[in-house]
Amino acid sequence: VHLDDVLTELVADSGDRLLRVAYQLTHDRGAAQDVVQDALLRVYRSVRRRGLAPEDWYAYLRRAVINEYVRTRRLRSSTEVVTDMVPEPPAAGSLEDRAADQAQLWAALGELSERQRAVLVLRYYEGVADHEIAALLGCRESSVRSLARRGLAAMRPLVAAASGEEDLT
Amino acid sequence: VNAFEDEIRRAMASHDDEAPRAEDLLRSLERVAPPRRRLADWYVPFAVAAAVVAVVAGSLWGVRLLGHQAVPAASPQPASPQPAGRGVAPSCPARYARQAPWVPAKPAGVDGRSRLVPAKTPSSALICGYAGSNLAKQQAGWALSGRRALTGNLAGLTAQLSWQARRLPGQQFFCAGVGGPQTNYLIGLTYPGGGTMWVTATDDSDECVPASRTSAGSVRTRRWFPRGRPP
Repeated sequence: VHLDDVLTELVADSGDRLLRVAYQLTHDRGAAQDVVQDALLRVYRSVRRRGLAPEDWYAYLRRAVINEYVRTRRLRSSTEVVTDMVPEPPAAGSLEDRAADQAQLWAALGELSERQRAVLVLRYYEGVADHEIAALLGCRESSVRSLARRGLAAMRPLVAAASGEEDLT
Repeated sequence: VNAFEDEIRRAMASHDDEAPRAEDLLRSLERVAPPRRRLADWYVPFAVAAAVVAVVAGSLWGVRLLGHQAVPAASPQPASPQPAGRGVAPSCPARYARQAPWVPAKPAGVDGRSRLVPAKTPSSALICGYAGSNLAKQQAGWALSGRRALTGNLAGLTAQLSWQARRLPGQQFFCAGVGGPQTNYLIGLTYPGGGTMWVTATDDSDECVPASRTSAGSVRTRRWFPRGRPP
């Protein structure tokens, strides 16, 4: 018994990219697989039922991933384990500093709301224009800009606090 | 702002390698794929039952607990089911009290909501077998036919069961309607810190009975699971 060709193609064509986007959103390998799994099955049904063109698959899948992420994160927010532990700042050194900065940014991204994180991932990781993000999230472009602005503003103090710096340009 | 945004881009890119790979997902999908055009309809109960049976079969290889070749329990049977609870290790109920799928108690002290079993290794696992026939008019009250405490590879058991895909809304179960032996299993898991959980699955000739912790068709897991012989 072989996997349905449509689903195979969906995974083969878009699986890696979707999983990377999902991982950017969730910061968790298992959760990323869950999100992509659900997105694949939802779009799989649409492909079978409505005959989506292959060139549209990724857009539908990405939308499904975003929606699934936002939906499940809201559902699970009450069960998440929070911690007040922050990573130890590393010793001075340019490479370590760079790695530390990125680690702090990554951690700060994880502290954002699901919609803020979705906007930043779509904008900075996927390179999606704000008006397309608005269409994906079902909101106005001004809301996207606002979410991005607030997300960035929320990250700065988190990064500054972790690094012990007062300002970050 | 631009420098900060560039740093964000770099931070995101630096974690690319940590993301799961599609080939793993595809391999898992192929392992659980049912016949064409029925993927979304019945792969879950099939996969769950096969998963648990695979775990049981692999874990009890050679001890003849499966099916009607069950051996007597190795130690005295408890008079009544002992519910799983924090700090109380599960023990096999003397009888499988209801129609499958059934479990003696709800999860206690562990997150039982998101997956069939939590993605952490239990400290102990107990498997209880209840042999019968799917043609039996009364499919409740089957006596304990065998039990084994698993002593190794509990991480492997976790890996298989926690990867089980959850059931989707609107899914239906299809049965082949083939009569034959049926064995209901209960797996009692104890976790470090005292959490406990029961999982049930049925080795059934027509694969009609889904695995569950709660009720028929309520497979609340969310992961692809690699079917096959346990490691």
